[in-house]
Amino acid sequence: MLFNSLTYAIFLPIVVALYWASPTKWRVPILLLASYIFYMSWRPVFILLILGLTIVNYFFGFYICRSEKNKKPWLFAAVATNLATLCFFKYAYFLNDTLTTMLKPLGVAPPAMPFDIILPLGISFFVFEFIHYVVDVYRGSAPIKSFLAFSLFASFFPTQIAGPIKRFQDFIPQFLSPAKFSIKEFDAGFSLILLGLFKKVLLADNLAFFVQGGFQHPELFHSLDLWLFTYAFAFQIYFDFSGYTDIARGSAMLFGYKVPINFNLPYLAKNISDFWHRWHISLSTWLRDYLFIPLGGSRGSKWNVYRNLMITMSLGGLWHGAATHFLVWGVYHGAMLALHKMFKDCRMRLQENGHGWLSAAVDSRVGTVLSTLFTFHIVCIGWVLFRADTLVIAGDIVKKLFFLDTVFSGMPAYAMALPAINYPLIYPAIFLLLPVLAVWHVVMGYVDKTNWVERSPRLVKAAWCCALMLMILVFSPDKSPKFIYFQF
Amino acid sequence: MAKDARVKALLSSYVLLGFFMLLAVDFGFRVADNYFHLTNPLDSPNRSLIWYSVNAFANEQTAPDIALLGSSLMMTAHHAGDATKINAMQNEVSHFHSSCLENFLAGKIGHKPTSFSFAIAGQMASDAYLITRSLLAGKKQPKVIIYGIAPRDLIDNTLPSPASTETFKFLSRNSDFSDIALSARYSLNEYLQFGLEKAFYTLSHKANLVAMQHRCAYSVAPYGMNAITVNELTAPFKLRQIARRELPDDNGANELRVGPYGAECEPFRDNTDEYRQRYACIKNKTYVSQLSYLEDLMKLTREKGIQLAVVNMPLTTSNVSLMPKGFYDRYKNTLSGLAAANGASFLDLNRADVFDQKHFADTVHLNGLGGVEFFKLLSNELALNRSFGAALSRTH
Repeated sequence: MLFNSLTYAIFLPIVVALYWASPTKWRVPILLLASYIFYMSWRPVFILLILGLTIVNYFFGFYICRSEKNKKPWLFAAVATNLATLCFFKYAYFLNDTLTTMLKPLGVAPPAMPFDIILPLGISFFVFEFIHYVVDVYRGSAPIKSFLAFSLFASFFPTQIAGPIKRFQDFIPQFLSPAKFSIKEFDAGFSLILLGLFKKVLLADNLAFFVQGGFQHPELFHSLDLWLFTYAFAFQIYFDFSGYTDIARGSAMLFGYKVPINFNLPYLAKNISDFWHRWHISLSTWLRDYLFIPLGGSRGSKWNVYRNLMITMSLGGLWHGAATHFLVWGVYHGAMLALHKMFKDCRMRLQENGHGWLSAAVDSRVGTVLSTLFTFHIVCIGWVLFRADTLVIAGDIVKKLFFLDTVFSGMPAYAMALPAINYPLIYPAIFLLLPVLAVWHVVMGYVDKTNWVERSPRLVKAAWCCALMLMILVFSPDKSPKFIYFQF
Repeated sequence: MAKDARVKALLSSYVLLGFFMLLAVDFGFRVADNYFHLTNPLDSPNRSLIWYSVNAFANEQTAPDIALLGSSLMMTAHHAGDATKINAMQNEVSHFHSSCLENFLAGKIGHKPTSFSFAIAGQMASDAYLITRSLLAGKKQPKVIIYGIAPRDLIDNTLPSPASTETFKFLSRNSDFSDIALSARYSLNEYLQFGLEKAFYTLSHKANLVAMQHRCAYSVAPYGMNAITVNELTAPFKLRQIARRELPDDNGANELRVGPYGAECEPFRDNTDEYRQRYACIKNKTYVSQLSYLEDLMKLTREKGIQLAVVNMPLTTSNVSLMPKGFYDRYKNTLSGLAAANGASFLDLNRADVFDQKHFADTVHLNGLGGVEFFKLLSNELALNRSFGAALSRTH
């Protein structure tokens, strides 16, 4: 069931009405049942997977907590079970293909996959939540006693398919002391859903059609055209995923629950490390807590830190998809983070030696603007690796991006015919829209900082909701592509 | 008291207020459109074949004597046949008069009838019925309708429902199909969408509003860009392929051209796999439903006094052999039975003695040579049939 489908538009109000109309003790079971129905609406059989993992991890939690001496083997078993499940469903084909390629020169062919494997929706997200749970219990957190609450933590439908990745310490207390119905929360949740839909169906979906042509046939475009497609994809993926997160958070708020934010104006990041503090926050903090720190984190020699960064980001890349270009995207970000760490260390050393000019330059207003622009472009190049269907195509695009082969006016008019044909909400306004979207970031930063929406008069807020509803009704494309992060 | 507080809290909701504002805007738009005619019924953000046909038909001064209906089988026969007969390139989005049919018939019946083709790729029997009901009526009612049909037009298993075709969507914007609104939709999503369109005037006029937005977007585009229109461009084939996948019902004015049959014609394209899939699992619901639309079409034409010829289109023997055993004969018998019961004529032009592989561009579509041959044969059959002759000699 997609958040941007009519089915969800019917499903959500029914569940909300049932939830609030029921006695308090029935609310968690109702939400759990709704979450399982939500999951089964795609392929009913996969309910067995989420149920099975829930039961196994529930008991693992208790075993880890109770065994004083044998905690580690239990933890190892729990993490291995979760990872093996993830690897089986997500990486079996990738491993088989990689093995085939590697063994080909030796004339050996590994056996073909004996059956088809379908990737269950949301597996990457709920498996990470289970790993977080067992590791935190191992580290001393108390396990969840109520099986109902634990099941709902893992399957809560607003966050089930694409996060945000929740922490049980924040989430479970909300079940134990359920919130009372508040029209204020309800309004906030509903307007967040509207904003999410606006980002998804109006901005991301329309940009998607524009981006598609450029990334499928880069040979038809010049470098400046490809920069345009790359910028467009940067905003597409941001609006797609942050739109999804807004709908997820808004849906949760309708039940009085709060789930963590996932984005904090990422394209205003001043450096790549700052970017990862603003982009997919629930994943980056998960990777930090359950991969980077266990690997040694920032302790040890600088080379160890670089290695840890590379490993963490490479695996983070692979988490996004079982394909070489995702791995390379991860490696690229690992390398950028390592380079940034080097630069930061160099800056500190210079400062310690009385040469504060570099820090002063970076921290100046001009320096901040330039470093924000620089970081945005570093991220954009990463997006090429992420979006391109294969590494070869990504390579071709990156090559063209750097070897400027034309001036802007050289953009072939015929090449723009594709986006012109079906979704001119974006084209020809794309040249106006992209700067507007960039400015949006700055404006939203101000709006967030000043709590403008909260403070504005009721009539203004109502008009904002009305405008969003109207635009969603009229301008959403008939065919809406799935959320990008659903594939992970 | 508690109830009062709850009502007060509810009324303080800005989302609810926003929703009421939306209803007010929607109502305002409905009233304004009714009084000031803000929207043009023929406006569309995408240029589908039905859009081109309806616009061209609206510009016709008089009713045609003959209207052609059918899917791509009839459409290619019409365009390729005329291109070959006239020996000139034909543009599929602006070529609506069948030169072949008019001229061949002129030789048989003594005067040249006029024709208009509503044959559109992907047309189902339900679409043919809706075109007849909403367009071929009143002052524009033809004397004869020739409906070229093949099994695909009744069993296409890629069709979610009759209401999902571009023809249905476009025509339902300007015609009242409320009597078939529910039966033409199969899924919950389609019912919901229909309900929302009924409730919100803005949603039911989405196409008009998007078309308006297109014009606005072009007008605010940076200097130079607004000069570009799709008609003036020739997009690279690869890009067009993507565009067609995304929105198959959108064609540039210069994109669909057919040349005369000759030395430079395209080689035979083997589309066996495509049709193997199409015939693989025949959805009985679709078949039964499309047959009932065909029957409705026959009843409607009889009621209006239009002579209807249901023409079984030529197919290659290899294509027929892909169908489940006995299906093709059953299909022909059903069609001929329906026609006999409803005052229509069934003409089986799938004649192996006339059409062989050299007449086909692929396993189902006729090429230019086949197109000419098809209309020659059709004219013969029509001329031999007294009721068609009488209908064509009648004045409008």
